[in-house]
Amino acid sequence: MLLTVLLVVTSANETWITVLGHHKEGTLLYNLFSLIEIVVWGLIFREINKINNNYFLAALVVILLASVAEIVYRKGFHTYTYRLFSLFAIFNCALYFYKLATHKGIIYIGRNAAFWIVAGVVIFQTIFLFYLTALDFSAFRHDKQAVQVFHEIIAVTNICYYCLLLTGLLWSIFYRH
Amino acid sequence: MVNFLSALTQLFYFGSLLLLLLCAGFIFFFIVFHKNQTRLLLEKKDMQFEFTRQLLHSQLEIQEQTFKTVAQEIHDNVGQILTLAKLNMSNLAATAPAPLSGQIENNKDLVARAIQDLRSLARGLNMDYITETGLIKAIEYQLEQIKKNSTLQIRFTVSGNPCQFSPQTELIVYRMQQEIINNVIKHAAAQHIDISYNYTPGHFESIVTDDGIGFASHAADQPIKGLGLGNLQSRAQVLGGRLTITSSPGQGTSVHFVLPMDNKMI
Repeated sequence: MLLTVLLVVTSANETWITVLGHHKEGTLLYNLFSLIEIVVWGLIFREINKINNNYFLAALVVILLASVAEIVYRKGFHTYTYRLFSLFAIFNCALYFYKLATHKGIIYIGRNAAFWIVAGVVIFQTIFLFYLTALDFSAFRHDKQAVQVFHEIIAVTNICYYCLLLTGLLWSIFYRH
Repeated sequence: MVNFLSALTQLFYFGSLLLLLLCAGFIFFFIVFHKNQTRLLLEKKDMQFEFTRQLLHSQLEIQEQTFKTVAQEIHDNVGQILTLAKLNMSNLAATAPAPLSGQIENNKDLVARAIQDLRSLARGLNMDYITETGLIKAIEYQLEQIKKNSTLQIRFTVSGNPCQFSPQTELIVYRMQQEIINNVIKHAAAQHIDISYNYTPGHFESIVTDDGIGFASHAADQPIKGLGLGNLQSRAQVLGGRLTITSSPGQGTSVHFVLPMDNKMI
């Protein structure tokens, strides 16, 4: 269910940025979608890692509040706080892999929707974090060729990400019982 | 400047590619690692199951050996002594005065009944008898003995084409049936007991149903404990069969055992 919501949110998000990406209202909508995405991902990680403690909730709230603050006080996409979210997501993925590696019972990861979702997130967030960090360097920002190359890599990453998310979604339907 | 930018582009290009490859590589190696781990766990589980099976098998062998020894002891020792006592009583009755001879005759009858009961007991315990006569005959004999000594109404039906299992399988199935019937006699307070065996080309199926007091049945995924039911479950597992117990308070109990026919060897 959460994954379906996420796919709807992210596809709507991507559509908005493609159609209205260069307009002010486009960035605003993209930011708003991004906030929803953060909440949904938070819930997905909570479900996947079976986390039910206050630190997790506090971290999510901090990221959300910081994102809202950045959206309000800074123009453009909330790159700094999104990086924070990327780190949060990668940390959760690492936690998932650690739990999976140390799990005593038998889990068939090929049939496990969570595994594919996490794999997609790791690939996407790592590259996107690198991209957002690279944008901090003005030399890179102003190098059209470099940015173009990066867009291509991000496109490839996006394809991997959505393919893995879809695999997770389909697997969760096929192996529900 | 142009050279510098080009180098920067290359740096980010290869950097991001490297990151992408690292992530993909990590996931790939994790899948391989986890697959190996799962394989090892499955092997360990199989080994544990095999070990439990062997252990149970040994326990059953020891139990059968003990039963055999007890049966032989009853037949060769206690039986002989009682037969001798009966013979002495016959001699005594022949020479004793009338009122005493009547009492001696009564005692002789009691000893004769004890000999008969002990023979039945020895027969039930002796695995050779069970494997030679076959499951159905052995069960019929057992039920006859129960009918003689209790008011329990027993119905035993066999359908399909009965076939002979391997002696060990036959013995384990017989012991299981004995256990189930003994449970009904001891705990169920039942009036009727229905036993049906069904031989189909793929399976042997036995259903034992009683109209006794029943008990709170376990959920399907919970291990069965008490009343020797766990023991029954283990024996069913050793044979590769499946045992299901359905019961509820006041509604009687039904024990359903299914054994694949191709699994004739232990």
